Parts: sequence; C-alpha cells; structure tokens
Amino acid sequence: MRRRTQRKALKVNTDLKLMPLMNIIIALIPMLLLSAVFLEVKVIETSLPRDADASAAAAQPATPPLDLAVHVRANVYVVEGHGIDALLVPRRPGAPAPDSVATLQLAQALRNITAAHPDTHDVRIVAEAHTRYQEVIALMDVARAAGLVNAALEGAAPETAGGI
Amino acid sequence: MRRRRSRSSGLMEKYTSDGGLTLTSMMDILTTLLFFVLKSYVSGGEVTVPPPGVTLPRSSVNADMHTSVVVAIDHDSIILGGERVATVHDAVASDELMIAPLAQRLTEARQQMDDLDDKKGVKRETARLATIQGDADIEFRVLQKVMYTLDRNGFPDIALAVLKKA
Repeated sequence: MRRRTQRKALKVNTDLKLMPLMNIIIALIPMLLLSAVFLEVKVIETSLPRDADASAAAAQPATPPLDLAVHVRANVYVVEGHGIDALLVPRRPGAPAPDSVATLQLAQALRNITAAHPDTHDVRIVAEAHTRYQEVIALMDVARAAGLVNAALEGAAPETAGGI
Repeated sequence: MRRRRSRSSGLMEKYTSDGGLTLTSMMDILTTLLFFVLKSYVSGGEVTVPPPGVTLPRSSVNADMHTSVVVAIDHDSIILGGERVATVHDAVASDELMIAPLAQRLTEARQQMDDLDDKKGVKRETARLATIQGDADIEFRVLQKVMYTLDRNGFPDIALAVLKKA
C-alpha cells in the first residue's frame, strides 16, 4: 500500500508548457502585421536628355543614331526616328494610360524597331504639358518591354527650354 | 469482482484527460504565421512609404530603391524630405523651368552631403541620386520642372518611385 502511494507521488507531468510561448507569439504577430509594409515601392531610373549626347551626335558617325522617340500628342502616339517611317498609334484623349489596343500596337512597333536595330536601347518619351504621370510611366514600361531600357523624358516643343 | 473493478479503473485512467487545452496544433499555426509575416518584410533596399495623399503610379519595373534625397509631389505641394517647400500652383504659374524655393533647398541639401563626405574623408560624389515620389495624376509639366530643378542643382540621377504591379 505504501509502495503504491510512493509511485503515485513520483509521477511527473512531461507536457511542454506552451502558454508563455503562445503569449509571446500572439503579441508579436499583431505588432509585425501593423508595422509591415506590403506595398512594394520600386524605382525607374531615368535622366534628362544630356547636352553631351548632342555633342556626340555632332561628331557625325558613319551611320547617324536612330534617335528614337515616342511623342504623346492629343489623339495619337507618334513613334519616329532617323531612317524609319513615323508610325501613328491612336490615343484616347484624356485617358490616364494607354488602352490595351494602343499598348499592344506600340509594343509591336517598338519591338519591330529594336529587332531591326539591335544596338538601340535608348528612347525619348516626349510628353505634352498636360500628359498624366501614369501615362508617362506606362509608356516607359512599354518601351522597356521592347528592350529600350534607357528612357529619357522630354517636354514637347512649346514648353521646352534648356535641354528638357 | 476485484478483477473487474481493477480493469474498469484502468480504462477510466486511459480515457480521462486532465482537462488542459491541446495547444500544439495552434502553436503550429502561429509559428507558420510568424514566419510568413517575417518573410513578407522588405529585407533589402530602402523602405519608404509615400506621404499621405500621394498615390504612386503602377509599373512593371523591378529595381529596388536606394538611399537618396526624396522629392514628393502631390496635387498641391512639392515636398522635400517631408517638408513642404513649394506649391504646385506656383510652379505651374511660373514661366521658368527652375522652381526657385526647391532649388535653394536642394543646394543646401547638396552642401550638407558634401560637408558630410569631407568629414568622413571620402571623395565627394559629382552626381547624386534623387527620388521623385509623384502622384499618378500629376501633370507632366510639374514633373518636368522638378526634374529640371534637380538636374541643375547637383542631382542629375533621377529615380521615379512607382508601385510594383501585382
């Protein structure tokens, strides 16, 4: 009888005590969720057209540079460059970004140009004063997808001065 | 009789719990959640949040942000380092491409950076990077003037902050 009582007294509970850990994790998760940044901010590196580019162009190499540009006009996007025919893509006036048809046509046109001129990586996006920023970014995306990774921003003629 | 009693008491012991919660499965869920939250943290590049009122444009670009001077443009103000330095209205109304108040603050910022480089004993950088956090809806003429002002005040490398498209 006495031996049985001793055996009962020596029985040890081997379960892990998880409550303190649970408390820490329950406090940690809301804190992390509140301070987390779920929006991924990325950057597009760009520049203004350089005067040095103009002087390099003035050196007159054997083949003149393509000087590819996408102009944003009231109702149309104009893709033009030296030695290529100007291509017009309809634009919906006042739209914050090119519609899907215009995007496809522009992408196709720029891909054809980069296929014909594989060394071309530069393009100028020539926007009008009232062009929305989102539209400029969308055009840069289309150009980048076609392999034109160096996009420079330029203002259309009436507002331009001092290289921009 | 005694044998039956001992058998039934053995079964009772086997099927009776002490009433405590089984926390192991919940611990598994919470631990998985914790790892997920930790993994979704931005671990590389510069972490930045656009100022209130600025909705960045969306783009498919994948380049990370670097530490730089940040100029934010919303519908009303041009903000440098969290401080409003000019208004969009004044910038648009002026015929000049240079935004004078912004130019002055950029010159001061550039001077501070150069002084810091001198104190550290490192070579002064000739071209510094600036990041523009512009609202998706601003007009290009505002962006154009801000870019021109940055370029002419020692910040020719310009990064346009965007939100990554899903």
